[in-house]
Amino acid sequence: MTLLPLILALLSADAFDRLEFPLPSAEARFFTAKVEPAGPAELFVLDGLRLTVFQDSRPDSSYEVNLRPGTTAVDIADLNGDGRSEIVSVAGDALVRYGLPTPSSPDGTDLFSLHTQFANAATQPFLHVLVVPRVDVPALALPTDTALELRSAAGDLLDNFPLAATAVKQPRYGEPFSSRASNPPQIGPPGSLEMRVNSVVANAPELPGELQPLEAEGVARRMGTPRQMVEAAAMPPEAWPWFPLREEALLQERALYAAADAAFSDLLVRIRAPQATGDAGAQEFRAGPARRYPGMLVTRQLRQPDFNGDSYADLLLWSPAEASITVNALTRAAVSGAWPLLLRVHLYVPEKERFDPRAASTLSLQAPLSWYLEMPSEAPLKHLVFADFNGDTRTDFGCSRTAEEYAVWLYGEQGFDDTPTAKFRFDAPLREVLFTEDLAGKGRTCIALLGDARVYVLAPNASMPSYSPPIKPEQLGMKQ
Amino acid sequence: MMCLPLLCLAALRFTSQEIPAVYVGVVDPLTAEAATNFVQADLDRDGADDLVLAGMVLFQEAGGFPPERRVPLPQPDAPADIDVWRGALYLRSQNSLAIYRWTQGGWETVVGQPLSWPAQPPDLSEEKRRLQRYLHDVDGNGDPELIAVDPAGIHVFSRNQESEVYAERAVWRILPPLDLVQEEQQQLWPAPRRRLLFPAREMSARFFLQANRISVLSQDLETASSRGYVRTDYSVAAGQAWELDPAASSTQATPSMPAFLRPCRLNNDDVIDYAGGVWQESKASAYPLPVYETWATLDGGATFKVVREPSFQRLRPHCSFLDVDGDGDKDLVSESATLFQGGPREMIAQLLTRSVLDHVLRVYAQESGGFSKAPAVEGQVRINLDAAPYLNGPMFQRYQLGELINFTGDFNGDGWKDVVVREEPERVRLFLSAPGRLGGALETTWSVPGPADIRVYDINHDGRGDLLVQPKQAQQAQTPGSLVYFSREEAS
Amino acid sequence: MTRRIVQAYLFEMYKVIHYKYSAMGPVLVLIAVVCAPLLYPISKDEVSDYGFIAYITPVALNFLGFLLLLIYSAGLVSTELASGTIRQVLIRPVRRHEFVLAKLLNGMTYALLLTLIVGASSWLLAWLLGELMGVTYGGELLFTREEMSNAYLLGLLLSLAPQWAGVALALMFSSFFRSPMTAASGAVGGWILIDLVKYPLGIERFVFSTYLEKPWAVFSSRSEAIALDWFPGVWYVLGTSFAVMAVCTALAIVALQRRNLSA
Repeated sequence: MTLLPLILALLSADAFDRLEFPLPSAEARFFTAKVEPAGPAELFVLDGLRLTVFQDSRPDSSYEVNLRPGTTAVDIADLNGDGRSEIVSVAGDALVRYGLPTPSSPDGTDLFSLHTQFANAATQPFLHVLVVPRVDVPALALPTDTALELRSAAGDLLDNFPLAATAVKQPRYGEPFSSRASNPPQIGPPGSLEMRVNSVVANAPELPGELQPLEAEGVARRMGTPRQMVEAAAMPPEAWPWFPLREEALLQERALYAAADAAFSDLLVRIRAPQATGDAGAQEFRAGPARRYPGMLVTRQLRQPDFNGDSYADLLLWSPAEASITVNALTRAAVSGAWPLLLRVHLYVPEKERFDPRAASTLSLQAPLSWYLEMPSEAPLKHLVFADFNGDTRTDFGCSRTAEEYAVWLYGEQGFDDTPTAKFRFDAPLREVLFTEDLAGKGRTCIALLGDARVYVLAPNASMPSYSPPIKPEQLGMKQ
Repeated sequence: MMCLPLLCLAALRFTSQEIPAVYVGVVDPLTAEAATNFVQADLDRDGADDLVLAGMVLFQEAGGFPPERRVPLPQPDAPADIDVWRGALYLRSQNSLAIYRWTQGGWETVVGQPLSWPAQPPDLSEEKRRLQRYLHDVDGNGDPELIAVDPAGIHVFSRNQESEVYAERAVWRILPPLDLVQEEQQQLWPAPRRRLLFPAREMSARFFLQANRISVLSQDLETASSRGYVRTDYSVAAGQAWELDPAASSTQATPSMPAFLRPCRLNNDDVIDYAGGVWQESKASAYPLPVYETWATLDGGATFKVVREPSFQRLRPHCSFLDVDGDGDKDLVSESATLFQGGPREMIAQLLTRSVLDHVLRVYAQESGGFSKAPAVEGQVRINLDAAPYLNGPMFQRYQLGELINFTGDFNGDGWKDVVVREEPERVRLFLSAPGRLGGALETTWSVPGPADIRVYDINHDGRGDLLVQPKQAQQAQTPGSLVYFSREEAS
Repeated sequence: MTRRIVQAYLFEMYKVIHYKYSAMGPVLVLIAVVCAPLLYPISKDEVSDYGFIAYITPVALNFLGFLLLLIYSAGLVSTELASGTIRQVLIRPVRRHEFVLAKLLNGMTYALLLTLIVGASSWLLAWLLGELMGVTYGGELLFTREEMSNAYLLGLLLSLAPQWAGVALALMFSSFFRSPMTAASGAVGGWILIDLVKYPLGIERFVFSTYLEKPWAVFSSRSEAIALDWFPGVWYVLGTSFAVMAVCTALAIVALQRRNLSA
């Protein structure tokens, strides 16, 4: 180990436990599920047919389950209703159960046999929800060629939902069947007739309410490409990208935003809120005036951060800290390749129906120069996570400022501190955030990061600074 | 002194003309082809290719497309796909086939027959017409067969030599079976986020017909980072049975390759090539430097040529594979900027203070079944960004999108691709190439409107590239037409 | 004349060796190289660490080292002017232009020393802590160890040209000003000012400092498996550097010859 990672590891605050899990292969899938009804969740690694279970998501306590050859769909759920989860999988036409932590048989226990659509699936097992809740005991939801069948663990048919011709599921993109000629040919010689053929068969059954929804809800915001952000400023408010101001009022109160210029230096924001009309009980939506804020949105995720925990989304804007060329800046840039940026938090003020023009908190960071050039409208930071790490209901913030580093800032009563609450250095560049979950069930979010040959889980521990939760207006008896 | 008369002889002259509704898309970096909304075919049999659009034909005359020679296409009763075969216009709809020829100033119906077509054309525009190739002469008798695809397979329609009526002859059930779609990883916990997902099945393949042989290419061994391809060739059985000869089929599978490689054709051999590009991060610098890697294999994945060039992250290369020297084989072109060649301190100074950018092109010629180890040809063009790259101005954004440079056109017909560069928002320059030099000799300069797109395409199919100054949304009817500068050789 | 210049140069070297602060610059660049693994970790991991050398050489030599070189060279004449020792030096059979040329050689030697220290220490560190094998990519050996060391050696020789141009620039300021501080400020400030305005004015091609790091470009590119040609970059490096050397040295000579040393 070289000196620098050692020093940085020592400097890292103890607020997080850094747990390291080996990555058995590039195709391995990490996921979380709960086996015992109480206690922390488990971390699972599905690598081909080998499923490794890290108990309580700790790297030092694990066991393996070898799935049967030909296994396709895999679920971790409580099938027999005893509160403990087991592995339920499909292998060819067989439905197989593996008890956890110790299967009764190394090959699992055959539940019953049924030809499903999974029989001809890919060679690698994949995660799929097979077990669905029922009033009495859970059931297995199995797609056959003609229907979705609900069966008990013994194989008894509980319900049958035929594939309705009226419920053809639209593919995510494109058409159900398409064939288009490539002109000129791309793989064939000149003069040949070349065609691309794509076919997606995705009929869906009509299901009762308790089995809905089939998929996640639709997107509740308009993201807006960088170009649309620039063009929006000259267009009516209806055309502006937006994000919801409150989760419970997804489609009503919105913050509309646009770039003030093509250089993405300032952000224009309008608030669209319901206004009472003359008719009794009727409402109409009006967009307020465009207000200018310095910088661009750091994140355009569905859930905007709520730094002060008042249930309203807040603005987090970024801008380069120094546009001027100083000897200091040039020296720093030449030696470290980094350039400073500022993050500013503008809290939403419900009573004024606007974001506060004064920054509630300002954070100064440095990011690699090359990251600035990737996308003009995007913050030069990677692996952004907005979550509550210390359970105080305020949104905290984590990101990579270099390829091999991850840092976390807690948002406290005074806002962000310039020094990160925790900082981690890794041997190789981080590739992505695998997931963010409250593994211990204590309201504190863990971050799982995918490295070159490892997965790192940053788990908040007892040393995590805790701030008193904000007092919400309703707790004071104030009307919003 | 000998050069001067040669230069004079080779001098170019440009004539401009506004052409409505013609659209040329951006160049595909892998194939060097641009999507168009027209096909080029000689409908009036005067030896010059005309432009066939979905709604009209622009007849070519004296190297241009005069307004008085713009003729509407025959109006079909139902949505129809249009293809052209040896000067004849084929319009086939769900239930009929019509063949027209242009004779003596009008459309003559050669064939009009009912024909049940297996594949429903998608919802077409008001014009009810779509350009779509479906004609191929499988049996080599000079009459094209009609090819249609539906979930059941590939349908072949041929003309009966006696009755001269087209009818379905065979269905080739050779497309790969449906596979379960690998959806994104489903979340199994916590319980509120579990979703019942009904799985979809998918098939994706390409095929091409070459004389009486059909080849199907499909993906195999697919993972997130790698994939393989399987190619199966079939021959149509002799004797007009129209069935595929099982004895004459063969299958070739590639080894697993990086997922960013796409099948393509880089030369004229019988092997499908694979090529693509990927971003990496270099560390031999004071800071992480983006490096663009261009990969190609000419032997079906056995060996690879990899060229690395430092470049701006997210920069879309204009064109990575192109027949630069006119020998029929596509060469590998790498793109970079001199900004990355001067060391870290100088690069930072340029990022912060220099509003001019020198774009570097290097050509690795394809020769003897591979690409040259060192660049065979190099070129460099200068672009005025109006502002330092650090400020991410509109010109830099256009540069990142690969819109400011185009080297797919051969303007003087010498076989070498010439370089068109949008040097400033309203100024475009043409640099002629020559053996051993890409670009370099300034030929001409055009003034163009700032918002317009610049495209290069041989519109009149005379072997010389033409310049299109194309308004945004050029496909829409109410948009003004593209201004086309046709290149011609100076007569003197 | 050559003999007089050589004698003056040897006298300069004698003074340098006995001047206690002369070692400060070499020590500082050495510290910069030794600390480099903190910024660019290397290890014996079967992967070539030429990237480390490509990283630290321009930073130590063309940024910190060049700054030190300018300051050192700016003091070569002005300190003698300020202290009046120049009058004693010129009493000996040394003409003013010979004196300037000896000072130029002094600065060039200093640049050579810094370069050798950076080169030797960075290679030594890479050899001790990391790996120095050929550069392989995609299973193919693209550049052998010999090709890499040759590219560095050639870069090292070439890098002397812009550094020597910097010496001449600083020497010119040193001849202009009697105060060493003013001369150093002029040299360093002039360098930064030129670097700030050269691109907006479009004169960068003719400014030697544009090519300060250029000699390392081939080595640096090769360490990342990127092929880069030496030419025409070499001509620009040599052309601009020697032009600056000639002009600045001539101006320094003219300035010193016109200066009233008795004042």
